[in-house]
Amino acid sequence: MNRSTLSLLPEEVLLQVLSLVPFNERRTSIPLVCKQFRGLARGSSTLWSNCTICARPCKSYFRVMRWLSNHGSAVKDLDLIIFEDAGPQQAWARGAVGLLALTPNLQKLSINDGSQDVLFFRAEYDFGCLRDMQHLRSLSLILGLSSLEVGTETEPLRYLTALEHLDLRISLSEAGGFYISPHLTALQQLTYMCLYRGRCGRVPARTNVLEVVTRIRSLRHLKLIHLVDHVPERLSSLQQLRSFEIDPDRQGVCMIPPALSKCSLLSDVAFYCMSKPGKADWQEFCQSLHALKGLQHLTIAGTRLSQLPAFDWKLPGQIESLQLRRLDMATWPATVFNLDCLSALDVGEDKLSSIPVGLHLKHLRIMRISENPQLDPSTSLTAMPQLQRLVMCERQHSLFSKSVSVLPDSFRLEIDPCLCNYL
Amino acid sequence: MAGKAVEVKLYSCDGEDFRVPSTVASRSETVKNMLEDTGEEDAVPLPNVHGRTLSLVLDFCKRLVQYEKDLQDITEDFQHGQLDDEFNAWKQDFLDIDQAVLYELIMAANFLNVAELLDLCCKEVARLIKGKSPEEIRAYFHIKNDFTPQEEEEVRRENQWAFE
Repeated sequence: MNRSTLSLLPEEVLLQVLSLVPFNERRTSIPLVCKQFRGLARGSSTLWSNCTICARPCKSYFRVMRWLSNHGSAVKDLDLIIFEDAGPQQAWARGAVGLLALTPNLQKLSINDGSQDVLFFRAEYDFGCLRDMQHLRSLSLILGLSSLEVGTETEPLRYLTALEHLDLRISLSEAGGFYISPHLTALQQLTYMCLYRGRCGRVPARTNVLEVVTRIRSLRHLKLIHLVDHVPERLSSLQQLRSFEIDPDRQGVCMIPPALSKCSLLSDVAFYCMSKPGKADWQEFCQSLHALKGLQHLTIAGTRLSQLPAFDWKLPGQIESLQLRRLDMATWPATVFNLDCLSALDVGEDKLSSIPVGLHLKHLRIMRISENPQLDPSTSLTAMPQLQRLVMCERQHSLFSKSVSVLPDSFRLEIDPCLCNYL
Repeated sequence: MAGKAVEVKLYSCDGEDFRVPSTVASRSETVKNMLEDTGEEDAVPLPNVHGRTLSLVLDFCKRLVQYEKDLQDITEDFQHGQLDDEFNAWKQDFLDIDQAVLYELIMAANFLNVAELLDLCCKEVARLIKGKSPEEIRAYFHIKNDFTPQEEEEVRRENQWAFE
C-alpha cells in the first residue's frame, strides 16, 4: 500500500474515524486538510451527529448560526454550554436557546447555563421549539435564572412522546419553574430540582410536578431535589419504579408511606438529611423502610451537621449495599452487623473507629472507609473475611500499606479519587 | 456446546493457513456467513487479507472471546472493572504497531467485519489525529494539500466560530 493510506480508506471507515475526533477539531481542522476531507465534512450527515456549542463572547454568535444553518439538521446530540461571561449585551444572551430552531432532529439535548441570571430567556418563544422535537429522547436543562416559567401541563413538553430521560435542574429567584406534562408516556428517568433563592409565596410549578409525576406510569427512576419534604404516598401508583432519590426541602427525615410496598420492583432508594434527626423520628424512619420488600440498595447521606444517633435502630435484613455517608457516626450501628446479605458498605466521611472485636461483616466484599481518621483498616480486616476491595483516602492508604505487608492476590486496595482531588 | 471444540481452517492471500476454534473465527461476520454457507469442514479462503494481518486479527478475536467468557464467569460487579482494565491494557500493547500495519488491520477488520476491532482501530487513528493542526495532520498521514490559498481561506471562513 502506498503512503497516503488514510485517504484511501473506504469512505464509511474514514467517516467512522473522523467522527471520533473531538467536535471542535472535527469542525475546524478536518475540512482544511484536503479537498476529500472537506467534501466529507460538507456532504456527510454522520460527521455532525454530535455537536458542542460554547456560548461565550470570544465566539461569534452569527458564525455559529451560519454553521448550524448548513449542518444543524444533521445534529442529533447537542451540548449547549453557556458561560458566565456571556453577558447581557452579547447576542448569545439574547439568542443562545433560539439556535435550537436550527437543530430540529435532536435526539439528545443538554443545556448547561452558567451565566447566572444574565441570560434573557423569552421562555415561551425559546423553549417553544421543543414542541417540534419529536425525536428527542434525552433532555437535560441546568439553568440558573432570576425568573422562568415555562409552559403548562400541555405545553411545550407534551409532544415529546419519545422522551425517555428528563433532567431539569433550575434555580430561581422568583416563583416559577418548568412544567412537566403527564403525556410523556415514554419517560423512564426523571430528575427534577427547583431551588428558590429568594422568597416565593406561590410555587405553581412545584405543585404541578408532584401531581403530574405520579401520573407518568412509565417512570423507573425518579430523583426529586428540594421539591418535597416527604415521600408522597401517591408514588405507589408508579408500578415500574426501580429507584428513587429524595433530597428533602426541609430538615429532618422522610418516612416511607406503607403504600409503597405496592412498588414491587423498587430496590434502590436514597435519602439526604440536613440535620440531626431525633431518636423517635429516626427509629420510625428505619421501621418505615421495612415496607419496601424489594429494597436492596440504601443510601443515607448527610451534611456532617446531621449526626446520626448512637441509639439502637434496625434496617431491613435483605439490604445488599448500604451507604451511610457524611453522617458523623462515631460508633458502629449494631444493625450493620446483622445484615446477612450485606456485600457493599460505604461509611466514608464519618467518625468511626475500628470494628469492635467479636463483630463481623461476614459477606462484605467491598468497603469504602475514606476520611474516618480513627479507623485503622488493618485491625478491622479480620472482621471481614470475604473483603476483596477496600477504598480509602491517600493518608489512610499510606498508613495501611506500612502496617500490612501480605494481602491475597484477589484483594484490591483503591485510593478514593474524588476525595484526593478534594483534599 | 458441540461447536465449541470444532476447529476451522482459514487461508490468507499469501497462502498461510490458520487453524482456530470456530468460536474465534466466527467473531468475523464475513467468516461466520461463509461457514454457514459451506460448513465448518471446508477451508475458508480470504483473498483480501495477508497472513501477518490475519494473524493479528485472530489474536484480537481470541482475546475478545476470552474476555467475554471471563465476563460470564464473574460473580461480582466490581470484577467487571478489573476485566475491562486488563483487556484495555492488552489492547494498548496490541496497538503498538506501525501506521502501515494499522491501516492493513483496519482494511482487514472492515472486510472481515469484526466490529469491535474496526472500532478499536478507528479510535486509535482518531487519537493520532487529535490535537494536530491541519498541516500536522497532512505531514503525519502523508496527505497532499490540494487547496489553493484562496480555497483554504474560504474553508477556514466557513467553519471558524471564534473571533480572530
